[in-house]
Formats: sequence, structure tokens, C-alpha cells
Amino acid sequence: MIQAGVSGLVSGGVYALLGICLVLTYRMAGVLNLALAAVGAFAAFAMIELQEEGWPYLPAVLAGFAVGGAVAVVLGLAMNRWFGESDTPTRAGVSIAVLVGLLALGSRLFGGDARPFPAILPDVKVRIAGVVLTAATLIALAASVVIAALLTAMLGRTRTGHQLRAVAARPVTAELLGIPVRQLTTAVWAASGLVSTGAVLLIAPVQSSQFSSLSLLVLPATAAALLGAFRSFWLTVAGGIGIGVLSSLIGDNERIAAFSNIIPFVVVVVVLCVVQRREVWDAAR
Amino acid sequence: MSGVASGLRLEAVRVDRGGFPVVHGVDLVAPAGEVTVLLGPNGAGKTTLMEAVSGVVRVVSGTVNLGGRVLTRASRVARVRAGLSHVEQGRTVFADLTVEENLEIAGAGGYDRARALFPELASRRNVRAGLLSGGEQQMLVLARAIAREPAMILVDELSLGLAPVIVKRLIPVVRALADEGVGVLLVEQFAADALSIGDSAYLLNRGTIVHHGPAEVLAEQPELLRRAYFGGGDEPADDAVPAYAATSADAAVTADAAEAATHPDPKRG
Repeated sequence: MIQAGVSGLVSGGVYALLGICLVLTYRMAGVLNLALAAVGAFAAFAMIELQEEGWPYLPAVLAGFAVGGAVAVVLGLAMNRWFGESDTPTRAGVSIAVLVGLLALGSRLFGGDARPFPAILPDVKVRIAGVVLTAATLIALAASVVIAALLTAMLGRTRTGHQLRAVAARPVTAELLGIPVRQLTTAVWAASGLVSTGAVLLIAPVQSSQFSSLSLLVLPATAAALLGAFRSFWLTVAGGIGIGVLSSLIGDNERIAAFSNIIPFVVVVVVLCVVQRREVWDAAR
Repeated sequence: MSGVASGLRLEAVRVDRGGFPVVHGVDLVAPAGEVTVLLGPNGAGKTTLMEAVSGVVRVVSGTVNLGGRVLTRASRVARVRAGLSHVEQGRTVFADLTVEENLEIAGAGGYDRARALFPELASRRNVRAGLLSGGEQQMLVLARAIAREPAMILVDELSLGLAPVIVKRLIPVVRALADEGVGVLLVEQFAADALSIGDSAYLLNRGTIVHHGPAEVLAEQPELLRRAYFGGGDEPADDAVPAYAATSADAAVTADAAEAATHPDPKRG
């Protein structure tokens, strides 16, 4: 039972990492980027292809990260260029179109089958109080906590963080104050692409690794981001880990195992009901 | 005049909005060290012209020249670096950031000067800008623009939605900036207030400059204003006191109603 919960930590950490990226681009660029995990999956498959071409391991991984960052930046610039004045639902719709496009492109380029992903980490296992933790689990958890802490501190305390928040609130006014809006926004998109690539590379070796299933990791990540109200990185991390562990626990119980994948949807529905209920109360007053 | 060389010079500037010409062939000079007042009825193209200068909207033809540098096709950030500062309509503070953070993100060397001009903000430095009063927000917006030590500052409707007492506080600051050598281009609904601190004035109507001259001449001849606002030579009814000729003090009685009516969208003015 405990081991089952612990084995959900790796996917939980990955949901948390992707959730952080969703919150970041939502808060800083006003885009709910549902193509996020597809960008990471694209980068991961590019890495595999390079390896099969004979590239050594490390350059292939670095090239994968470069692809993830570059695709995210291109997506961000395109969003900014053509949908800069659009509202948030429109941009979310565009990101779904991009997701569908990447799914089609991915299956064309890389095929629809699962690919054997080499574990990017050595097969180290740590035993704590009788529970076995893999290196991937530790890295996913540590990375999500560290990135959440860094982003929270940066946005709250540094000049660059304040500039980013200014850009998010009033892009034109920020630009009129000489803030380099385009560079900052590009950096946000690049960061989301890099983290998403890392998250996919962490989980690809331990779960079904078709292009489509990796791309749809964005769904539990969206549920995690929703738990953080698309604002708090810490609540998003907690939500991601919680969803991962809960799914794993349910998957461990034979009678209800079939339902483990619906956990994110249940979370989304419950959160939306609670939030909407509060809004109805607000409107009624 | 040395001020002209280091000031703002517009030549035959044309600007479109949604494919329709809004500003046609405007020539305008706003020298350094002077307050140049730009007046005109709603929809005349004042804001559009300012936005064209700062790069928010594209100039279709003509040139924008600041201190001898042509900025017509420069990016917004490049224009700021060239010394331009644009105070937009509608108290565009970053509501989520504190007073200090609002100043810091813009900040360059003029930080202390900005704070010296508005000692009121000192006690509010750690308050989120969204919680400030309208007057304090407008002070912050001005202070933020000053913090960048601009050579040329465009101020769009300083008094919009503010109580007259606040307008009386802010207008002299604009004059003080010009006296320190900054060029000011001022768009203001209260024409008399603006003209009282102005050196020269332009009247814009339907996208064209219809009058240009010393500010005091316009202040003394309100019929020029009236003609510009209503077009042709037709005099309005005798008892009509047009809002454009009023000072902020005349509007004191209705200030509350005006504030309610003109309260800008907090997101984007």
C-alpha cells in the first residue's frame, strides 16, 4: 500500500513540474498552454531519433532540451504575434489547435508506437524506512520543489520578477517604461519548454511512452494547476504530487484500478464546482 | 532655439486606426524645457498622436524626431531609451506591485528625484498600488515616468477622473519638469489649467492641426478654442460654458459625478 503510494510520486512530481509550467505561462503570458507536454514529448522523441542516428547520449539529451526550448519559444512568439490582443479562452483554443497539430506531426514523424526510452538517470534506488525510491522519483520531487521555490522567490523579490509581473498585468505600459517585454516573454516560454522536456524525459522510461500518451500528461498537470488556482506554485506542486499518489493508490487496488486515470478529471470537476459555488455566492450578495 | 533641437519634432505624421486615417499630416514641435499643450475635442486624435510618438500605434507616413534622432520605425523600448516617456491615460499603475516596486521596475537614475517630487508617496511605499487613492496612483504614474529621467515626456489626460484639488497638485509638477529642461507634451481636458502652465499650444480637430500659437494667446481668446471644438465660425449659445474652457476648479461641484462617469478601466485605459 505504502509502496504503491510512493511509486506514484514520480508521476506526481512530473505532474507538478508540468503544472508549474502551466501556471508560469498562464500568469506571465496569459496563455493556458495545453500543448505544453506535447512540446516536451516532441523534444524527447527528437532526442531518441538522434540517439538512433548514432549520437552519443549526452549531446542527444542536450539537443532534446534545445528542441524543447526552441519549439516553446516559437509557440510563444507566434502566440504573441497573432493572438497578442486575443482573450484568454481564444489563446487556450489556439493551444489546443497546436496540441492537435503536434500530435499529428508527432505520429507522422515518430510513429504511434511506444518507444523504448533509456532512463536518463542511473538506476539508483534509495531505501528510506523500508520504502524504495528511484532516482527519477527523487529528481522529479526535488526539481518541482526547487523550481517552485525559485519562481516564487524570483517573482516576489527580484527586479526581474517584478518586471515579469508588470509585463503580465500591462504589457504595453511595461514596454513604455523600457522593460524588454519580448525578451522576458521569450525567456518564460523557453523555461517552460525546457522544464517540460525534462519532465517528459523523467517519466518516459517508466510509463507507456507513445507520443500521444506523453502529450496528454498535460491533463493531470492542468488539474494540478487548477488546484493551485493557476496562481500558486506551491499548491500546484502539492496538487500534482497528490494526484500522482492518489492515482497510484487506486491503481493498486484491483477492484477500482480501472478508475485510476479519471482522478484528474474528478479533481477538475470538484475544484470547478467549489469555485463556481463561491462565485454564485458572490454574485448573490 | 536650442530646445527645439533636443525636443520632439513631428513632420507630416499620418496615423490610421482600423484602416481609417485618424491623424493626417500633423506637424508639431515640442521643444525641451517647454510645456507644449495639445488640445482638441474628443476623437480629435490627441491620444492616437501620442501613441504614434511612443510607438504604441504605427506611423503610416511622416517622421517622428526626438533630439535629432528619427524614431519613426523604432521599437517602443528603443524610443524609451532615446529619452521618451509616455504617461498613458487612466492611471496605469501595476496594481499588484507595491509603490516601491512600481518605481523600481522603471527605475534608472531618476529614482530619488521622482520621490522628492512626490513626498506623499514615501509613507505609502510598501502599499500595493491597487490600494492607493486615484490621486496617489496618478502621482505614482508620473513618478515612475520621471524615474527614467526622460528628455521628453508625453502626458495624456493627467486629470482624468481626479478631484480638482489633486489636479492643482499635479499640474505644477509638470511645469517644474519643464523648468528643469524636460520637454513636455500635455494633453488635458481642462484647457485653462493646461494653458496656464503652457508655453505654446496646438489645437487638433479631426486629426488636423487647426491652430498653433503661444499658450497665453489661446488662454486669452477662448473663442479660438470654441471654433476649433465646434468647427466653422458658429458661436454656441451664450449660456453654454463648454467644459474645455473650464478649469478643474469649475468642475469641483460635479467632480464626484465626473469621477464616477469617467473612472477608467483599471486593466487598460
